Amino acid sequence: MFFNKSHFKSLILAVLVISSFVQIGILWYNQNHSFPFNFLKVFSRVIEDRTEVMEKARKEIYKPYRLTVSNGNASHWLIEENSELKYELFKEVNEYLKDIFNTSGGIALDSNLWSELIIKKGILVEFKTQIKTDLLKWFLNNQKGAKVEFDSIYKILMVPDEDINNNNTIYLLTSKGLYKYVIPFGKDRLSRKDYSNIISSLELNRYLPVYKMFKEANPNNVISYPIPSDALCMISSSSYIRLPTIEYNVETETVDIEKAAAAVLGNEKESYDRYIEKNALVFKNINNIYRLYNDGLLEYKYVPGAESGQKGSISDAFINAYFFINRIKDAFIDAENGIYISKIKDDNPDYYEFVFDYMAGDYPVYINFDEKGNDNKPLKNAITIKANSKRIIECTWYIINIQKSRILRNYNIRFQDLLNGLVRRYGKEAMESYNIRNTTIAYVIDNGRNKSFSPVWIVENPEGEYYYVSLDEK
Amino acid sequence: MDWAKAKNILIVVFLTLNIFLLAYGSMHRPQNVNSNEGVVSVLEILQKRGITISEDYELPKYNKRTPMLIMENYVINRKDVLSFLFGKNEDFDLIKAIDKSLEDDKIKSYADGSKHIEFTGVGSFVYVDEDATIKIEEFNIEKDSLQDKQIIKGFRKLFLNMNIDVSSFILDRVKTNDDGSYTFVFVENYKNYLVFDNRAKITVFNSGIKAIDFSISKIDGFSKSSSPIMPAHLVLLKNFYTLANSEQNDAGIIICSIDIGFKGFDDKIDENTPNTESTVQSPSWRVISKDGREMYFKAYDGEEIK
Repeated sequence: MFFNKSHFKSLILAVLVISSFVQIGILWYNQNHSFPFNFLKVFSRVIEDRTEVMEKARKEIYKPYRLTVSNGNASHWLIEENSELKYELFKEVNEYLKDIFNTSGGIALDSNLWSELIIKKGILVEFKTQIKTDLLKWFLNNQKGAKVEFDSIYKILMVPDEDINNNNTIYLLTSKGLYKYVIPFGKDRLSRKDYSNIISSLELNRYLPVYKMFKEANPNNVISYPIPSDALCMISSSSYIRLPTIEYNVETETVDIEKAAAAVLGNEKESYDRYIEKNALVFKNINNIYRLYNDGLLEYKYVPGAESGQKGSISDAFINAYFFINRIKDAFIDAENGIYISKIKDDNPDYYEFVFDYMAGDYPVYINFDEKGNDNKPLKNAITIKANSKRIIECTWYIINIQKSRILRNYNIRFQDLLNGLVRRYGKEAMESYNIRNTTIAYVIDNGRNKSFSPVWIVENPEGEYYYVSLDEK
Repeated sequence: MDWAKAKNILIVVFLTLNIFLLAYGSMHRPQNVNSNEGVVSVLEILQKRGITISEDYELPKYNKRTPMLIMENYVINRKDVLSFLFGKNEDFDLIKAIDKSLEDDKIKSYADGSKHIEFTGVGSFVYVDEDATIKIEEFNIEKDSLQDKQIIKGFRKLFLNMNIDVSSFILDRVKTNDDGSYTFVFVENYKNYLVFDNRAKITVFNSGIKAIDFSISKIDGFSKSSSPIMPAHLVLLKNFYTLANSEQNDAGIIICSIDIGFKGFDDKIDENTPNTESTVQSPSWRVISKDGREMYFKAYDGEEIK
């Protein structure tokens, strides 16, 4: 028999090729119908690593509600969200905060001094609510710091020029009052001169709106309403700023049930049954129930309820809350939609309550629905989560995507006009007796039929209630 | 092109690839949890804990990727049900019976003499007749000679009278009660899966209907995607291993039946079922023990449905 070496080789080659395909097919089937090699996961956009998510939490949530810079000469600039300067200054403030947590030893001062301090040349960082120091330490990745005299911080004022030596001065407005710290300028940090240069460049920028603090705008107490001394105001006759309107859409309206299950339930989606109701998708298993309404409201409940002894630390509870927020936000909300902590409650022995709201650029979005959900309860915040160190206990989230208009309009923000507007709307008596904690330009999304929302001016009391008036367009 | 040389190179390349795939595949080959050895090992462990499988029963080896089941409301015509169950009563007036409301679905319950019915959902009701007045001829036989086919015939006839299609229901089991009555349990079989929530329990005494507990949803089909399930022996290991140490298990547990099907979670945690248009249920194992206990476990994760 004539042995054809070439044919034999062809046969071997064919067998090897077929065998390769068969083996790849077997691997494919065994590896849950995906490509058998894990190295491709390095190109995956899904953030799976717990550490990465915690870093994302710090970056996304730990931001100032407002950061203003003053030249000490009745000029204050609100540093915008998209400005690099905002994060550079916030980072500096945090470095000093870390020093404070590591060394403690602040001097307690009379809280009434605050109104004198905020008109000095410096940087003012404000949070919307008191942030617990344990949570701040977690945000700063500095959990082992010394115990401080207070348990939460509301505002931080950095006054670089106050000390005659080479020291920076930090004032903290806390749950226990006002504290002062004198800390040397760090080697790798901004120097006194750097701060002066920053302020000079702001002074030279004619396009930036310049504000006064209410204390400076009302030195003789002509305006008798109880406006906080550190409220930003414009008092000149041509006080206009350019602002967008906002619109929002509800991503969950037409979502496919499997996509919704993957987004809401993550890796546990197989343990849930699904129920399609007239106005909602329901995911349910023995202990958990999620209801995702067509109008964007998500309700979650851990059926057994919070168990005692599981409250744990605020940072552990916050991590649980954020993991949940991150998963759903990634699926339904555009990355540029910011959220911020607007309230933290720590009055329940079994869980913490975190309240978040949306930011549209530099300004908060207030939600004001009288009735939402099956229980027709009022909805006043974007996200309310009750969580402990083990799990989420309850959550209510109005999942919307907010878009700012491309066209900016000029709005009058002259302080006197804004106050007059409020008085016309609510009455002088109501204004005089209203305990104002915070004033801000904002947007209010409510039951109205409007698709587009114009900016308003809000005055808010400590309970989170507010009065507001629309800004007049030029 | 030197094709001979090219072939040599290709042979070397594919040989290397095959060796690599072989090595990779053997390192990452999934444990064959459903191999006979695996099952036997698990059963031995359970036996040491007092959990045994009934001698005349073979543990199912079902281990396929299984989809979810999509169901929607089956609306029972309450007029038909009332007319059949109460129609022969002397004073029964259908119009009066539904006169309480403008809409049929507001009727929750009705009673007349020894009979009482409560509609517990759009596709479910519970009926009781202490005097067992409605007779079904096919149920008129002593227990020893009861034939499955006859029972099913009687069952279908009963529900045909109420205009409810139960053609895909099968006889699941028969229980003998202390008072001499029998309870027939029927469950819907959909493409070889038992739909446990589509079931009828009929208690019969002297061929008369003493009670009916019925629930049905309309089956739309399976979901597009499937997921792997936990095989039966692992579900037993997960749930019965720890149970074996509890006080309830002084005498041991004998498993006499394990079936794959679909069952939903108990709705008592959610009052909103009237608004449900359709349901998607994940597959479930049903385990029945010799002492009559029925337990259900979700097949994707082995968690008990309580």
